[in-house]
Amino acid sequence: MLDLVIRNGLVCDGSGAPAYRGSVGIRDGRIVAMGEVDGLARQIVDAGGLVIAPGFIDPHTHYDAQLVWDGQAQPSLEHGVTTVVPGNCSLSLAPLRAEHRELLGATFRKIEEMPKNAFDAGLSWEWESFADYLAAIRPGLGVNVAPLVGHSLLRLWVMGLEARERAATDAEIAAMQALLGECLDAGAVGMSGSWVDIDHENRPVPARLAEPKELDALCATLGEKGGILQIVPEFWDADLLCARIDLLADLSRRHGIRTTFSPLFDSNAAPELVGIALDRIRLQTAHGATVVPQMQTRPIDLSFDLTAPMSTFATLPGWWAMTLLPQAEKLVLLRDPDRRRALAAEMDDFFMPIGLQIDFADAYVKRMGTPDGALMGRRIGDLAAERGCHIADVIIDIALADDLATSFGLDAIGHDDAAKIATMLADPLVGIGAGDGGAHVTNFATYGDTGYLFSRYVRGFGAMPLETAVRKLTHDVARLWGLDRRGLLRPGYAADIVLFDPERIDRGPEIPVEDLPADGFRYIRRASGIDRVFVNGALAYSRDGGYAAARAGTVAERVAA
Amino acid sequence: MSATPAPARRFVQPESGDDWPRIAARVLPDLPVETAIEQLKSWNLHLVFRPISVITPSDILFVEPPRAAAGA
Repeated sequence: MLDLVIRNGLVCDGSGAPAYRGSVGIRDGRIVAMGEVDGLARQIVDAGGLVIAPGFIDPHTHYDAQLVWDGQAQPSLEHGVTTVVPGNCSLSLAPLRAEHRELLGATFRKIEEMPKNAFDAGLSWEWESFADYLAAIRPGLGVNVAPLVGHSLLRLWVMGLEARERAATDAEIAAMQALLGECLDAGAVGMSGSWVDIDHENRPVPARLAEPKELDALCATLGEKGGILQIVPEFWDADLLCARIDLLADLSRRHGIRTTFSPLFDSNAAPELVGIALDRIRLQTAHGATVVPQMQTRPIDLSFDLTAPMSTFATLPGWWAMTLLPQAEKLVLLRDPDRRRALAAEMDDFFMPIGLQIDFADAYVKRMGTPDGALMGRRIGDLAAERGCHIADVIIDIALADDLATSFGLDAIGHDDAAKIATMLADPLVGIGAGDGGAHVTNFATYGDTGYLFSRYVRGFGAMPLETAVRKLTHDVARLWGLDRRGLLRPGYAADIVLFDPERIDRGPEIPVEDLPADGFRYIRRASGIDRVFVNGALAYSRDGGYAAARAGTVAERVAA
Repeated sequence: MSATPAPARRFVQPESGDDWPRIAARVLPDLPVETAIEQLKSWNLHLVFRPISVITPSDILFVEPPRAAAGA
């Protein structure tokens, strides 16, 4: 007898092949029958003509911390995501010795923009090894996890604090290789790195201190074990990005590994960049390398407030330093006319060097602790004109009057030329990713990039057929990340399944919620058009019932080398 | 098809502990050091104007000007 049959659906199996009317039969968490499914079943679900597709796989998340307190990776699961890849950008939460938790925590919170209160309240720190981290999260998993291990963590474990200072010796490189092997054996699907990130003390993350021979040795281990390499390059500069693509291509060819970088995004600041990068990737692909860029579907929106340092202030040192002050000192500074003039002058010279186009005059009042109808939604530049003052004064005055609880929005500051992006997303060389789920939680809500792909680019622009979009979110990701028997609807494959309405699937508006530990606030997006989500054959989410109690997620296995 | 395409713009990666004089002496040995440093910095503004003034061994260091600029 089958456990579950999903009947009467439009089967879109993840391969990109034409969808067809049919059913899917499931037993013991795996798909056992497709097409016309006969036989008894304990449960029958009538899909009512909805699409039956493999669960979506999100290859770029920072759910490492959230998975400790929320094994369902909300709200990704309700958007149809059944497998998440945490540990990107050189940062995971294991392997990590107890004495380095504060340091790594501060680095992680700075780069991934997570509130300290929630981070500290939510993390139990029951682990040091990678295997023990997975053991800590495994019982609560409602989604599947395909974790990367961060290169910075490997260095910190082997070299201690000197990982932040110097290159590794040959013996230390060998120790890192052994440690990486242990992590891969424990369940990591690969290793992540960074060529750009700086920590909370404005120092390069440990991964950046690695000499080429260290990265090469670690990639040799990835090659032996079948792991992927993910890395963050200088994505805003065409020459630098092409050089990085060349380095990744060399590593890919030399060790037979798959490599991916994130993000690749379009900006009016460098409108030619994506085309140049794709030409370079096309050339390297023709020469036998696997280098897959991850592109997000959504335009870049950012929020900022004055309570904590945020990426928006990365090139505004005065503002950055102000946000770090204790509340009382911060209030004194923000009321001091001379200091305000200095902040205003700094904003006049503002330049964002990573391809984003930010004009603080275009910011708007997005959220307030005590909402003021006369201000909500108003553009800062307009308010400054009305008040006859500098935009910095408007931002500061509104924040001060609201006990610094005001959040300001900056919408569509990059990657917002939808017609152009439609073409890029459809390019066979381009992967869908760079979602950043679990990170930047008070800055933007990435959740629902999957639904947005369908609403904006399948239905809206007709950039690709439904089947291609599903393939890009499922089989393409599983194949590149080497996930064993996931990403397709096939007998023998895991029963990770999403039922959705192809005419309604979408992301909702960005909304604030207070669901982090210690009543922490974050922005999320709800899903629309998702009917049911199954993880390893168990109902995990339904439109009518919300999140289910089942914890059927697991650590997704990697295909052996 | 050859295994390794020529770079779009030639570059090297610094050695651990490198600074501008050492790099200049190594990659532009025929130029006076000060001239070589000036030349290299003009081709690598991403290292000159970065928020942190350190050169790491994972950095990209271009050893020629941008192709478009060179042809201009």
